[in-house]
Amino acid sequence: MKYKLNNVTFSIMFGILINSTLLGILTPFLINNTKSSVLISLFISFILGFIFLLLFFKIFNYLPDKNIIEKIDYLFPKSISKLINFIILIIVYLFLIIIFYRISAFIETEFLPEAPSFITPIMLSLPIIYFSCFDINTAGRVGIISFIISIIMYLINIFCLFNNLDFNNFLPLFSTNILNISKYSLIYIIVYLTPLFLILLIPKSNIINNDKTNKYLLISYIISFICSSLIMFVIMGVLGYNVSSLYKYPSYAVLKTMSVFSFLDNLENLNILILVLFMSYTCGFSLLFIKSLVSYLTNKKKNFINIILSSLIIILLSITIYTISYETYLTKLHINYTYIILVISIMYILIILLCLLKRKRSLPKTN
Amino acid sequence: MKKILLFISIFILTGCTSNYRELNELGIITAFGIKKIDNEYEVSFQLVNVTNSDNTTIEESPISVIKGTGKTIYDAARSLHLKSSKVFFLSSVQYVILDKSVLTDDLTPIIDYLTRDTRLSLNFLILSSEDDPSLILSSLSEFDISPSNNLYEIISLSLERYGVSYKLTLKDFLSSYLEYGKVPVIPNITLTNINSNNTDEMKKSNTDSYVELKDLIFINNDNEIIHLSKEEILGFNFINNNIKNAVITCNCDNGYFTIETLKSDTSLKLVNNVVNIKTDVEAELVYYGCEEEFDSVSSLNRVTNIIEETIKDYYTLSINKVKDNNTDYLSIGNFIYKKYPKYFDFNSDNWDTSGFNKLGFKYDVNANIYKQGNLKEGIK
Repeated sequence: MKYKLNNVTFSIMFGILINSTLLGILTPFLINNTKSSVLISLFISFILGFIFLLLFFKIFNYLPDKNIIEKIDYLFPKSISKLINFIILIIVYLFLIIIFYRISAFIETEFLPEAPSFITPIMLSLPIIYFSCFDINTAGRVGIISFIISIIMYLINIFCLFNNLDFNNFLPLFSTNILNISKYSLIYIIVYLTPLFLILLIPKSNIINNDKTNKYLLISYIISFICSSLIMFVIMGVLGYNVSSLYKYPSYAVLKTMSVFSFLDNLENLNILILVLFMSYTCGFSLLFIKSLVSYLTNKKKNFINIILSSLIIILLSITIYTISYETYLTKLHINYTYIILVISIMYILIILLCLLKRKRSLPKTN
Repeated sequence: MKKILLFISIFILTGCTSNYRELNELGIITAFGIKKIDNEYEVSFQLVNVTNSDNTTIEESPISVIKGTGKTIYDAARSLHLKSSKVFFLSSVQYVILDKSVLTDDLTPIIDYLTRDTRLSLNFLILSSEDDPSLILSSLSEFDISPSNNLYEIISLSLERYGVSYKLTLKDFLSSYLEYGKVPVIPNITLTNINSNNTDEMKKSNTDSYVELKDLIFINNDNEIIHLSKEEILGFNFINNNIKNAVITCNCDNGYFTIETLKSDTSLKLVNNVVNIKTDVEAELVYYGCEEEFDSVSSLNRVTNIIEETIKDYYTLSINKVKDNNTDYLSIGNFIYKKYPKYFDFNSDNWDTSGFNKLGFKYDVNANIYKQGNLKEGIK
């Protein structure tokens, strides 16, 4: 791992990754379940988020010169570490499938409804695969560029939509009971922070001036959460619960009401690119993670890595193309992507807890 | 490997697959109308004639109107391909006219079509008409080369500068239809002198065929169309804080005076089954034609009192209209649901029949005239 990142780049990557589960996954999930109590739910989620961040910091700060794969390898015997890393491979791959499927389904539904369903995933996969051909340094640079583009679009969106806000849409504040609100707040924050496990691919020692990294990440979390909450706030404030719950992609629907300086209309296709960009970035980063995992599991035989990666990509494409064709079926079966990511996240949290537990046990031995 | 990927990506991401459309192949739709005849829907599209749209003089119509029928709205819309060689482009739609035959029927198919279609925005207006929508769509205007722009501006300006209108966008239409204690209040368009509407008519300086905003309507619980008078519209707009610059003319001793509101703010409060409607209005006196001179504080107070009483009358008329029709078009129910959710069980009870009628109303209107134009006093 010869690359070096600075704190700003690292926290930007962190911010991009955690915002990738919003479009078509978390936004409709939270709105549909908490109704007009979204703001209270977001507040609870924000507070709960610090607990998970603490867990993240614990594992991130432990063995700073190693990434998560190497940490597991260090903590456990060879066979067990291979097994755990294989489970992580499956988890990351599942996560990649869901994000990739949601982004493909979104583009297919909203932008290319007349194109054959295989076009979108193939079209989308190529830049993602291209992205994963490079190292983390390049990922950092792509992150900065994505961030600059996104922040400009984001500010324009929020600024223009603020005029359309109707604060009565947030009433009644308690449209569902507090137990329900707390339950969905917990699910929201767990799913929201799920992509954090991807960033554990970067060892802390690869960050310049890494004694301040935790502070940067904390700031990045606060800003990212406020930004994502503002998206939710604007959706509810402009559309209200009843209208936004009609749509599969309320964050896209709200942009349809936008008018820049009262004369630039129909900009939704451009402005939603923020979330599409973030999701594509996360897919690319997941592939990078998978590449490292495969490399570890196969003892770095380059040809073998390529064969496995290609197979996984082909499986990913096949699943996506197939599921897009049956999207209506999946909707009718009430398959909730949030819950699938929740399971992924819980599995990952368990692995991290196992590592932390093992670390505590192994400490006396080292002393 | 990287270069091959980059090369393929560049080709695929251009978007030039077999489905691309040239601009001249698109039929840009600026407005459409929906009507129901027997059990079939009739959809009329107003298409822009791209080649003529930049002409400043009217030699040929800048628009074309075509209509088709089908069992569903989508079916009717697609049947227009039997008559047109264009691929319809719906993103530029500015308004949709719903015929009374549609309004008095189930609105669900309309909402389904308007929300399911991914190309439609949420900002276009919903209008109603008692005339055939295709006639409204075919009418031209001497004020704007684009008739859809003209009608859109009529609705906007009549609200912003006159106060007797309502800009019902699809978003508002959906929320009025779906939320508790609300019904859609729809601008009603009419076409004067239907028979003389053609491009020759537009060459005259005094055409007698034009579209105009007649009034606002809502559908009551018996599926009847109810028209609102000017006073009731003003009452509705004041209560819902839609007023920007409304013009109010009041009677005074042997004459009239007119004010233009500059700012209006209404707040509602529920206290012991009584809804307090408190309105603060800031206005400019734009015409004064009363007998009594307008030269003292007492005359100013007298004028403001008349304004306050007039606005209270608007409220009384509006509330009586709700009670007469058992339909809460003023959205008082929605206010109660949001601010006092425990007051009424909207899930199991009917607000219009058993909730609204139990309410009392109290008005508190404060008018303040702080501008009166160039004149110091009235002209005798």
